[in-house]
Amino acid sequence: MAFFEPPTPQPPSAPRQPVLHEWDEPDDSLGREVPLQFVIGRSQAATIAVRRITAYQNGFAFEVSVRLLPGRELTDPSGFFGPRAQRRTHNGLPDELFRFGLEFADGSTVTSLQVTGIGGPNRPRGPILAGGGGGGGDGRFDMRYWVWPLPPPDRLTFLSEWPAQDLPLTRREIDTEPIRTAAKAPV
Amino acid sequence: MAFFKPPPPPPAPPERWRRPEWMLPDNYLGQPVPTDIELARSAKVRIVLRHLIAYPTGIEFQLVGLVHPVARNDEAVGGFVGRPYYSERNEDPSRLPDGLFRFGIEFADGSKATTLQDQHIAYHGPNHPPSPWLQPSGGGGSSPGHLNAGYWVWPLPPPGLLAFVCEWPALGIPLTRREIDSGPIRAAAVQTTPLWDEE
Repeated sequence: MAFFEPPTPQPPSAPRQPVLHEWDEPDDSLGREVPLQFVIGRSQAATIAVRRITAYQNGFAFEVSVRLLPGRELTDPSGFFGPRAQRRTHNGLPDELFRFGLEFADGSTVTSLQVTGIGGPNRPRGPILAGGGGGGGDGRFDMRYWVWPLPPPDRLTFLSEWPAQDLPLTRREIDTEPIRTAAKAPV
Repeated sequence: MAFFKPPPPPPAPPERWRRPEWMLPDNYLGQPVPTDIELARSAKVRIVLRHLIAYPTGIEFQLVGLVHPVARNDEAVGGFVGRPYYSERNEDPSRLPDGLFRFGIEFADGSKATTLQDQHIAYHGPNHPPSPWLQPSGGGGSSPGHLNAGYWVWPLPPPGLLAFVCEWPALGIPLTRREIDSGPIRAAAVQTTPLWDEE
């Protein structure tokens, strides 16, 4: 009898079908493009913009684009964003941590410090921000997010702050009508 | 002769690398051009071109796809993001495999670029890559059934029609061509301003 035995073959399992909820990004629609682009924060060192908005019937997706002045490139991007940076928040938010958030017209908020995974089982009590995938380098980063639900009529505010790049807390309001109109368009 | 002598001056810093004109510029956010056009559709997949952004030196856009649930486990879906699939899996190099998604653009002057061109040639030698130049700029799947591929095109298309061409036999997409007027793209390109001046 051999010392190392191959494992017992397992019967093939059916492909896993994720259970999608009304608060998840749909998997049966491409949504509609919203050709809006706007800067939500700017300093001498960095420009932060929202781009590539896609509206769905139950929410919207967008990208946060970060552009850094030459010479301000990040040697360790995980320090400005992502899990490693967020784990260091026990002593307050580090200056290196870039943060942004959204505020709906009804006063509800969600921030990049509350990013959730896809497919959570429980109905969220307020808006969610999911995703955060993306990439970049050399002072150029683009991260994609999903927001549920659609923002109510009136204004939607994007807030951003990044002390290490001299960006104070900055608010940028937009009208939600283009997003809400695109969400209703046939796909 | 002094015991302590001042050190020699430090060498001059190396000249900062300048991003070539044919690459996606990093000092512009560009100007979005409403697009959202269906490029191709079959029983298995639907492909839309959207998020077209005009820059002074070219355009960036995304191809997004939605795969029908019955085809989501089809191995050919992996052929959406081009050439690696072609080079690693193709057993007969004299023909393109059916699973390979082919995509290209054609300018009004007849010049064209496709995803089958060798990407390495742009990075070797001092000269520009062939014009026009089509370069992948990120992509992948954002959720089950969703496809996403970004592209950068250099230079800005000339006046006239800009054609987008694709073909994906394994997913039921025959050679398909969609044309748009380059006028709005060229108009948007002159509106965009640099985030900072290049030294």
